[in-house]
Amino acid sequence: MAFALSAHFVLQTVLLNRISPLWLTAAEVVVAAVVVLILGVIAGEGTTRPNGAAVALGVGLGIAGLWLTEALVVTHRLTDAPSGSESLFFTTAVWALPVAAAASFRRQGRPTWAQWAGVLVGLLGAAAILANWERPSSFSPLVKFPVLEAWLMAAGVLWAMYGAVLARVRTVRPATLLLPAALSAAAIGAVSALLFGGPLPTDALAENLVGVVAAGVSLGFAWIAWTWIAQQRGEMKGVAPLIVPAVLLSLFALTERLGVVYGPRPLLVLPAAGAGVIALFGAAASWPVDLREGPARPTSAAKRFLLAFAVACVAVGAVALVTSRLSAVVTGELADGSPYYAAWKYIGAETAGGWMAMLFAVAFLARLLTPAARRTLILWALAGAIALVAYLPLADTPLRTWTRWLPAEVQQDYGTAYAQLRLRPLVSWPERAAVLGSAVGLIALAALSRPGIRKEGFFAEPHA
Amino acid sequence: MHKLEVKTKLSFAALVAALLVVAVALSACGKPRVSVRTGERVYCVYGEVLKNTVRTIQVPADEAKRYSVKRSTILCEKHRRLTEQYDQAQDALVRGDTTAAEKLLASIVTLEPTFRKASEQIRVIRSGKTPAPDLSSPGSPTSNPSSGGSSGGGSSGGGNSSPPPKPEGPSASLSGYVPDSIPGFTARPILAEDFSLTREYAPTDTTHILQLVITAEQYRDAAAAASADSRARMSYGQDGETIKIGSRTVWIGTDGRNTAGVIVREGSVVAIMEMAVTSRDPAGIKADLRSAATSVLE
Repeated sequence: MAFALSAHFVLQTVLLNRISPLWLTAAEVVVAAVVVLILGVIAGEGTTRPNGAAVALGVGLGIAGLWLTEALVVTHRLTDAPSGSESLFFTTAVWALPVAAAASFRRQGRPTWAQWAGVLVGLLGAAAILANWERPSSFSPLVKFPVLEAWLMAAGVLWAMYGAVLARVRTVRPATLLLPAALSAAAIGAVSALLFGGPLPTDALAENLVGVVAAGVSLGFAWIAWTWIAQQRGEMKGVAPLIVPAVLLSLFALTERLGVVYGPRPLLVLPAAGAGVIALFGAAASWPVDLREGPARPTSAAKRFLLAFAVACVAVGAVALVTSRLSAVVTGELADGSPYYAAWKYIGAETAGGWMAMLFAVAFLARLLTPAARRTLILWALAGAIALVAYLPLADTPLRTWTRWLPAEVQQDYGTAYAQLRLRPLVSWPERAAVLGSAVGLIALAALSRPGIRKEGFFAEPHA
Repeated sequence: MHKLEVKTKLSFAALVAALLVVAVALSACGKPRVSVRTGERVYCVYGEVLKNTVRTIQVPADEAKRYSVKRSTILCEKHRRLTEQYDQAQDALVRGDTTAAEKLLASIVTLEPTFRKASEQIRVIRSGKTPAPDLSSPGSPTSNPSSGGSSGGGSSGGGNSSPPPKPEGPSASLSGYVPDSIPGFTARPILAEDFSLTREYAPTDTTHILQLVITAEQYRDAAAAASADSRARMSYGQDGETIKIGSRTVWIGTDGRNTAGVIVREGSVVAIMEMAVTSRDPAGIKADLRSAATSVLE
């Protein structure tokens, strides 16, 4: 699913400038439906007789969850505005939140505190990676195009609702729902394009046939993967594939940099690598784990101490969010040629370091409150130690460079000879203390916990 | 016990959720106090700062857009008089009257020893020769510098068809890097800052070249210039190499897409020539830029 979403994002970026939104949506969903149909036939799903209720549900899901999601994304995604990094953030990583939120309302497969912490850490990691694409001109979510980006988030809610509905109808085979869903998405896509999309862009479609087919195929695979994951494995396993595309596309950009001239430039490699580690940690932590070993527990005294320590880390992390973190100086020229100068300070909540302090502490507290096998605790301790290293290059990343209160004519020239945004890191002891404390706390939790009694069979992690 | 644990967990969750909401609200809506510069700075066309009321003040972020530094350039009274005397001296030199010229030039260097070529011309006169009149400068008899302001130092507005004044003062020594003519390009007015000059050049024909921009900047010392040189090289790190243009060793590279840069460092001066083209052919850009840089530097 992560690969399909990543490929689809790249291909769609190329096609957006060439084909009108409704026709592009129609072309993509039609090809995706063909992919679903072919794979359904190959898998022998066509031989089962679907019942009317399942077909009706599938049609509803197809219109709302597949076509409308895609239509909202395509019609509100422009290639330059919002920038690629923001579009990727709001069409993948941010969608993890409604997916996890929708899963929270279920009795089975509800995310634990630790999984929730993983979602938030993963979201931070993805944001921090993307904030290191084309800095300082690119990543400033909800600043330049808040309405467009709100629509992209709304598409994420539809995507999550599609998964949430599927997760509740486990008795029906995935293909029984997906086939009518895909076909109805294709039908509504084609009809809406014919009615409202203007004349058929025959030339544009012919010129970009390979791209359109590839985008549709990747979309089809994303649909199949999400349907299967949501229905057979629970929506929470669909969170990680939403966080990972930021990492995959950064790796792709890095390899492109070695050979060809496209992709985000500059990609600040070290901070992006640090952020990638955090994103992968979050994605892994959001994954449900089994407790075959039985939960490992520290002694009561150790647990009380660790609990107090974790709460202290969260409190210090909260202080880090409001502590000055970066000193910013903007110099440039206004439209009338007069020089412009502004200086202010970013607080921790506007930087990756500040959020890492807070969310890492939250992850530590959540891990403590969520019973887990000793092996899981050891993996978290290891991840904590690695995250501590990843924090070093990542910490000074600003999570936005644009503001609504500086002159746009200056901000749009950032990085050129006409305007500069210079950022200087400021030492934030609360941030360092919270990050270090949380990493030490995770290691201590693993070290002080006694292995649980091994159980037979598969036991999902207890719900919060 | 179980109920207590659930209650504890919910309390923690509520606390953490509240903290997260507050932090998100802070980062999204929080508006800091911002230091901005405001006031007016008036320069004489000869580089002296005549008036400087620029100050830094703290304002709420919402008001940060309103403040900027107004800048204007005028010909001050002292330099107006010196320019008149200099013009008269050049007239005298044209007439061959070196005595009158020397007297006028001596009067000028008393007030400002570095004024144009006054000192040099006196030295030539005193060595028994007749110096060539300085006819090419804005202060020459053929030129008539306007005393009107020009924001940005380069505009020639007001309906005056005479060319804009050449930069003077600290950045005047950089003018060699921003010549009036480069084959294949039309020069636009020079944008003069205190210690830098910038000039855009538009291609004369419809070619794949979008524009050429040359920026020359005077740094406080050679070390600062070396540091700026290193930073600039990072911007043009793709296909970068050191080449010789005339007697100068310069860096040429591209950004890997459609912009190439030549970086020249001489002492405490760094000049960057940046060329943008429509194609994505770094090697092609380099060849075009090299040709333009050669005409500037040679």
